[in-house]
Amino acid sequence: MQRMPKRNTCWVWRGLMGLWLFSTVWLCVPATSLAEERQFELRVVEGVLQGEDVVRVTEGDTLRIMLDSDRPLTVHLHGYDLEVSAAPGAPGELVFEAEFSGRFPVEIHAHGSDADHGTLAYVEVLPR
Amino acid sequence: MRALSTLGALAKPGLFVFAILLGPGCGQAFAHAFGARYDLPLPFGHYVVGACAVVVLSFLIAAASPRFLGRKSLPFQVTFGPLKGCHWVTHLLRGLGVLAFGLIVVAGLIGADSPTGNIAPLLVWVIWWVGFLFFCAFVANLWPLLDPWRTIFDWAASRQRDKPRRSYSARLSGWPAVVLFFLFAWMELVGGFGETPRLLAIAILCYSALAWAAMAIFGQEMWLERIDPFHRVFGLFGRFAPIGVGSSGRAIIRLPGAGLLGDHPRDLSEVAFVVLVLATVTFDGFSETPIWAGILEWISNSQALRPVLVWISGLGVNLLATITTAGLLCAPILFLGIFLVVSWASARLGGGVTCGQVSRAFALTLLPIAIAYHLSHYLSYLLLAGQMLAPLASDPFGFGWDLFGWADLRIDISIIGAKTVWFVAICAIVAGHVISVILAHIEALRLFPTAGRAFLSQLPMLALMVAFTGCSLWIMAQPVVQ
Repeated sequence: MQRMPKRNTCWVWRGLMGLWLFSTVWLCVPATSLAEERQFELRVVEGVLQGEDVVRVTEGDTLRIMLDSDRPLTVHLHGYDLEVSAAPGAPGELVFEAEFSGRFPVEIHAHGSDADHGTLAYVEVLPR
Repeated sequence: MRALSTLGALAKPGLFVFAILLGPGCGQAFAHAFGARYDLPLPFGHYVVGACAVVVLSFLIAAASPRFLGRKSLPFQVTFGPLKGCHWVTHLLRGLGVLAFGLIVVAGLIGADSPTGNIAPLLVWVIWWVGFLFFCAFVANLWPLLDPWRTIFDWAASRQRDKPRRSYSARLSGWPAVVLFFLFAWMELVGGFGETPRLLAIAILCYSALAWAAMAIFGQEMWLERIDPFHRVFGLFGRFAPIGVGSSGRAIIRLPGAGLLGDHPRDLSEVAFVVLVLATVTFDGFSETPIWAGILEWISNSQALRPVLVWISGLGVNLLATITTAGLLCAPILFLGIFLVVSWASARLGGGVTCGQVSRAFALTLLPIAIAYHLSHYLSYLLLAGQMLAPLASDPFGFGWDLFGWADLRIDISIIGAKTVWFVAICAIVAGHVISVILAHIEALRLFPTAGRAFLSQLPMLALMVAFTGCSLWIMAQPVVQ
C-alpha cells in the first residue's frame, strides 16, 4: 500500500477536528422552553397500572401526579424521596417541582395486605 | 412478570439508592437497598451522532494507519522516577489496604445487617469495585500494593513465600482465575451479596482462606499469575492507564491504551479471561434493558418451559436468579465464540498465522471499548452512591455513632445532570472505540508481514469492534428497567 501524501493526511486531521468540533457544539447546545405545570394520572386496577408507565416532564416543570387505586396502595418516588397513598374512593395526590433530571422509579411499598416491592411506573425528568 | 419484578427489585445487588431529605417536613430517610440507576436513556440524536462518529473515524484510521502506525513502538513514552526507592509510600499503601480489609470484614460481621447502615457493602461494591477500578484504569494500577491478601501473607510467611509445596499443574493454566472471576461476577449481579453485609463478610473470609492456602501450597507467584482473578483484572485495566511500570522496572507515562500492546495473553484461558471481563461488563448493562425484561417475561409465560420452571421452583431455588445466572453463563460463551470466529476470519484473510495467534494478539485491543462503556454506565452511580461514604464513615457499623459529625448528611442528587452523563458517555465510548481500532491496527502491522495483508486481516476485527461499540451505545440508549 502506498504511503498517503502529506496534504491528504492534513485533510484527514482537518476532517477529524471538524467532526469533533461539530459533535461537541451539537451536544452542548441547550434546548430552550418555559417551565410549566403538568398533570398525570396513575390508575391502578387490581395491582396493574392502566395506560403508559412513564411520566415524562422537563426539568423545572411542576408535576402533579394523581394516584388512583381500587385497593389501598402506597408508592414511593425514588430520588425525590416522596411517598403517596391511595385508597378506594380516596385518591392520593403528589405535587412537586422536578428540580433534577433523571429516570426515577415509582416503587410500590404496600399494596392491599402485602408489602409488595415492584416498580409501578417511572418518572423521567428530561434536562432543559 | 409482577412476581419476577418483585424478585428482580430485591435481587439486584451492587446498587444503592439513598433518600434525600427534602424540606423540613420529611423527618425520615427512606433508604432502600439497591434501587435503580437514575440515568436517562441516551437520546436518539446522541446515539446517531455517536454511531456515525464511530464508523467514520474507523475508516479514517484504517486509511491513515500505514503512514502513522507502522512503527515498532509508540512515539510517546516517558520514564520518570525510580520505583523501588519509595519505601514509605509502599508501606503506607500496603497498610491502608490491610486496614480497609479489616474494617470491611469487621463491619460485615458485627455491624448492622442492612446495606445502607453498614460501611462494608459500600466499600466493596462502590469504592473498591467501581471507584478504585476506575482509578486503576485512568491513573495507575495500585492493586499490587493495596492487595491485602498478598500483604498479610507476606507479613505472616516471609520465608515460606518462595518455597511452594506443590507445583501448579500446567494443564490447569489460567482457568481457575476464569472460574473465580465468574463466581465474583455472579455474586455482584445475581447473588444477594451486596444486600447482606454478613454474607459479604463470610464470602470474603472464604476467599481469604482460599487465597492464603493457595499461596502456601503453590507459592505466591502462581497464585497471582494463574489463580487470583483480581490481580489479573486490575492488571488488565491498569494496562490501559497512562502511568505504568516500564520494562526497566521504573515508572513510565504513556498514551492511554499503549500498555495493552505486546505482552499478549499466553493461552486460551487468558483470552477467555479477557472475554469474560468484556462479557460481564456488557451483561451488567444488558440485564437492565427492556429486552432482558421481555426475555424474562417470555420465559415465565412460556408453556414449553413450564415443567422446567416448576421443577426449578420446586427445588427451592429463586427462579429469577436461575434465569439470570443462565444469561450470565451464556454471555461469555457467546462472546468467546464470536471472537474466535472473527479471529479465524482475520487469520484466513491475513494468511500465515493461526486463529490462536490472532486471538491472542487482539484480545486486549477490545478492552478500551469495555472500559469506556463501564465508565459511562457507572459514572453517575459512583458520584451518587459514593456520597454515602461521609455518613457511613461517621457511623460505619450502624450503631448510631457520629465520629466525624457527618452522620446526618444525605445524597445530593443534583451533583451530576443527565446532559453531563450523556456527553461523557458519547465522548468516552467514541474515544474508547478509536483507541481500540488504533491498537488493533498496530498489532496487525506487527503480526503480518505487509501492510496490505494487515489491512485485510483487520476487516473482520473492525466489524467486531463497530458491533461491540454499537452494542454499548445501544445499551446506554435503553431505559433502565427494574
